[in-house]
Amino acid sequence: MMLFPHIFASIEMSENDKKALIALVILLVVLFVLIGLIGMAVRKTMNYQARRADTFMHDVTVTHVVQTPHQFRALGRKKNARLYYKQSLIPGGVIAIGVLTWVIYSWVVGSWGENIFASFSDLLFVWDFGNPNYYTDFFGITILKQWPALLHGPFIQVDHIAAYIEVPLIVVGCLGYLLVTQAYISRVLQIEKRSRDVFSKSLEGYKANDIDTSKVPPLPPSD
Amino acid sequence: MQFLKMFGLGILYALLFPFFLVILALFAVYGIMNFFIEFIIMLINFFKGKKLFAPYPEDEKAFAILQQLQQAQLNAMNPKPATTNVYVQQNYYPPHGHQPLGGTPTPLNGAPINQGRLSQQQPYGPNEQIEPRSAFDAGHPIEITNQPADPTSIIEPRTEEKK
Repeated sequence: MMLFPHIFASIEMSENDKKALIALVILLVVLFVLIGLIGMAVRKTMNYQARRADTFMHDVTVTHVVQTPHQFRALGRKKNARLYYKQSLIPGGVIAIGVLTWVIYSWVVGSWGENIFASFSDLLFVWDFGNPNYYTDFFGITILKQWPALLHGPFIQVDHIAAYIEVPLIVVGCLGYLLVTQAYISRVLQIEKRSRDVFSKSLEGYKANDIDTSKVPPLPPSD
Repeated sequence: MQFLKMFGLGILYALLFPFFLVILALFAVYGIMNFFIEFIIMLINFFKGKKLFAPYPEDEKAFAILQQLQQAQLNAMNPKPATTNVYVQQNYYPPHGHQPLGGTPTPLNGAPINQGRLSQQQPYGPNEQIEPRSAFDAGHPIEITNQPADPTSIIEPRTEEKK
C-alpha cells in the first residue's frame, strides 16, 4: 500500500498527457459499457433462441414418452441437429451462390489470385490507418494520435463488379450461419438445463409429518 | 449504479468474448459436418420413399397420447344421450280368434273381471234398435260354397266392353 503513493509521485505528466489520459479513461469506460450492452443483447437473443428447444421437447415430456434425463438429452440432441441443419440451409445457400459466382467469374476471366475483399473495398470509405505518422507512444502503448486522412470514397471499377456481388453474399451468409450456430448453442444449453430441471423432485419446504396419516402410516417417534 | 454494473459486465464480456468466439467457431465447424450428415440422412429417406424429415417415433407416440386425451376430454364434455329403444307396432288388427287389445280382460276362471261393476257402454245418438242388414251383421255364420249358383252371372266387365 505504501508503494502506490511513491509510484504516482514519481510520474510527472504534462497538461496534454493529463488530458489524453482522461480522454482515454472516458473512452475505455464508454467502450466497456457498450460491450456490456452488446453482451446483454446477445444473452437476451440466446434466451429467445433457446425457447425453440422447449417447444420441440414439450409434447414428448408432458406425455411422459421421455422419462429420464438421458432420454431427454438424446432426443433433444437429435432434434436440435435436425433443426440446425434446416436453419443453416438458407445461409448455406447464400454462401454457395457467392462462392459459385466467384468460381465461375474466376474461371471465365482467369483471375484466380485476385483478392475479392480488397476489390470490394472500392465501395467503402477507406482511411489511411496503415500510416505510422498518425500514431504515437503513450506510456509504451501505441495509440492513434489523430484521425487518418481519407484515402478514397466509394467508387466503382468495372472489372471488380463480380467482387461487389460475391463479397456481400459470402459475408451475409457467414453472419447468418454464425447466428444460426449461436441459436444451436443456446438450444444445447437449454436442453442440458431442462434435462436436469424437468425430472428433478424437490423436498424444499416439505415436512414428512404433514402427510395425511389416514392414508400413510405415521412415522415412528423421533429422538 | 446501473452504469457501473454495465461497465463491470462490459469488462467481463470483453474477457469472455475470445472464448465465446472460439466456441462459436468450433460449433460452426461441427455444424458443417452436421450439415452433410443430415443431408445424407435426408437423401436416404428420399430414396426409401419416406418423408425427408420423418417424425421421430417418440413424437408419434406423444401425438397419439395427446389425441387420446383430447378425445377423452371431448367425450367428458359432451356425454352421449341415453339410448331409447323404440318398437313400432305395425299389426293394428289382431289375427282371427285372438282377443283384441283393450277388449274385456278375462281371468283364468272364464268370468269377465268387470262384470256387475261397470255399466255397459251405450252408443251415442237416439236410442233406437238397429236392424241387422245382413246375416254377417246379425252375427250368423255365412256358408260359402265353392261353385257359384249361376256360373253365367260372372261377367268380366272389361271383356264385355271390348266386345
